[in-house]
Amino acid sequence: DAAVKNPSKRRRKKDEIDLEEEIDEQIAALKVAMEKACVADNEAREKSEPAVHKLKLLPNVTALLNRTAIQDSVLDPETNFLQSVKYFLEPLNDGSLPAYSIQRDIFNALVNLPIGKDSLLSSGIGKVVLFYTRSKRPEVTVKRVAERLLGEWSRPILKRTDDYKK
Amino acid sequence: PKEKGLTVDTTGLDKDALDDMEAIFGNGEEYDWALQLEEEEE
Repeated sequence: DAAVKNPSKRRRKKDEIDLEEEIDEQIAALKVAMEKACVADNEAREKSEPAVHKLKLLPNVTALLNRTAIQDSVLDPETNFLQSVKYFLEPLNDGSLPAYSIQRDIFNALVNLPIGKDSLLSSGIGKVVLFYTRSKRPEVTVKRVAERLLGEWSRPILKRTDDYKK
Repeated sequence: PKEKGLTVDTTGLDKDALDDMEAIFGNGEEYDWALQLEEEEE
């Protein structure tokens, strides 16, 4: 009967809102932890101690990036989770790169995400990916993914100018 | 703006596309400090 077929709309709507808020809170908390880990790794390097803080958080970061169900929230330019992902990839103050596993896992997650222009503009992640294509330090496999990302992210912009010429 | 940055054939590109490219990929100098450190180490 009607009651079974459609549970009261208000109730389902409320669950959806709670879930969305919960996800946004989770993302916000991880962003803070990521930024702290970046600072801590830089401080550790300055005291020539090993930089392990980002590495400890890596599983949480990749888990979130690979959770297709909440992709919209993860890629939302306002939430700007990709900005913290950019910090994770940045060279440390002494010029050293983050651990290879951080580079590999994050680049492999990025290449599977439909990252749009707005997310690129708000996060600035394109700048660090460009750096990976120019630095001599990354492994060839990482550089190849970086180059592929550059191609995928610039194609819609470069292609746009061809369209109206045709 | 200086045309450094991505080595892309920008002939025939409209201004908006160039602005978008620079807004997304930067002017290529954001991490020059790190690239310089690499050079010094060699």
